[in-house]
Amino acid sequence: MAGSSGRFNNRKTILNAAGIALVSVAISVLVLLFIPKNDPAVAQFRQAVNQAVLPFIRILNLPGQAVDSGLDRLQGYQSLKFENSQLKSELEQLRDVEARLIRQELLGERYRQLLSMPLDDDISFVGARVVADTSSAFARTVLADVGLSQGVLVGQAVMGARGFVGRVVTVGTQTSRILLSTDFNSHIPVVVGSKRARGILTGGNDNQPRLEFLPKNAGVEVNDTVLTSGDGGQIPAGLLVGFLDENGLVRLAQDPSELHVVRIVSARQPEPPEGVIGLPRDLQN
Amino acid sequence: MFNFNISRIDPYNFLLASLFVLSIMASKGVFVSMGRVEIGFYFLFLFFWGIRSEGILGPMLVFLFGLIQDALTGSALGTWPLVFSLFFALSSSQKQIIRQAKGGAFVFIFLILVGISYGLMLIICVLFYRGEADLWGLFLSFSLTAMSIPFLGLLMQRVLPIDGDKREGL
Repeated sequence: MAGSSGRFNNRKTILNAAGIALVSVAISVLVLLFIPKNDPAVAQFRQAVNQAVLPFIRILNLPGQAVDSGLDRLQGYQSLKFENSQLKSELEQLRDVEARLIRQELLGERYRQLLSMPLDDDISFVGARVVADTSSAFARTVLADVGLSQGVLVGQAVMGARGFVGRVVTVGTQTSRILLSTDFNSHIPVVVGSKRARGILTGGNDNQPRLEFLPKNAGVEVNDTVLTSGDGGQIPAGLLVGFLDENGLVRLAQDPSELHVVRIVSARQPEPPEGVIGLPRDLQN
Repeated sequence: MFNFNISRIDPYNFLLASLFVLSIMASKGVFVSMGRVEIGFYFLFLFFWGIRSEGILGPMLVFLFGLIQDALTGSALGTWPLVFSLFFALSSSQKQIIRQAKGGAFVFIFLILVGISYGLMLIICVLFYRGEADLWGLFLSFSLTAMSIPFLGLLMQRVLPIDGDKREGL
């Protein structure tokens, strides 16, 4: 009797955990079906969680950081002599380049004055550390440790050490989520090559984004430079994105998987026209 | 039907829950991240937690941690709670069989559960992300998880007492 009661109790307790878990499964399906992925409330929830979880991730990163810096130091000592001689020769070359650049700058200034061209947008940078790589099979994003308090805004471009990596999609007071250019939802207006063919850089949740909407006779070639076009006004023009490869994909200048430090680019936004002139009254509202 | 007694928390389950959370967080660290591919260590802890869990708090926490994972990874809300809860439900409902299984049988059951979870992720990818998701990354993650974790599972089976019948709560 006691045995059968024990078995019954056992069966009953199995229902507890598994039953609740199955209820959770049903709730999850409903949430997945009925709560839109890009709902503003969802974005707020994500940002709040990021903000709360960030200190823990920072702590978990400490051992990795220590190992990383230790390895860096070791490698640094080994290659110090070699780097020194390499740097000396590079310095010589750079002096030549600097002289040429100064000449070009003076020339450019003279042309600008002749054409009365306005200067490029004022660009400033906010340095940030990537504190979490939140990429998964479903999305390509990283978390940076700067937010509204440092003047970061949604839509701003993000640069790695070697080039453009993505844009800010949500901002909290101390954190911001960066949508990498490899994410499926990333669409960045770019220009390609010396002919400045315009296209849209589109991620596919893999390592290399592709170019879309390129004109048919764009005349682009392998190894052509891909730069941001600045269309839309949020991302400044001329940021290096990468290079076109033989498959028509873009080899990113900055590998998103090696992203530890980023610069968030703050550019002066173009101001909208003050008044709409010449439009019918219906269209003016 | 349900046991709402959460007053007694089993220390082993508390440890497993902590390791589960830690494994989720650690996979997000930029210095240990493998980018799009990851070893699903969290399945290991979830598996043992599911076997031992008796009360309602365990599955509720699993759901909550799934939501946190969704928020962290930027996936649609419900994706990870669904995967974690199903894995938890399966391991919890089959606990009698799992407890009696030894060696190869134990590894086999674990692999089936992990396979079902990754299969579910694949279905979610196709249905809810319409091919946006990284299927190759998912396959690599499954392969790495299937290759590395069962052995750790066997080790944990030896170290951790998996009879949690007399305990309640977490």
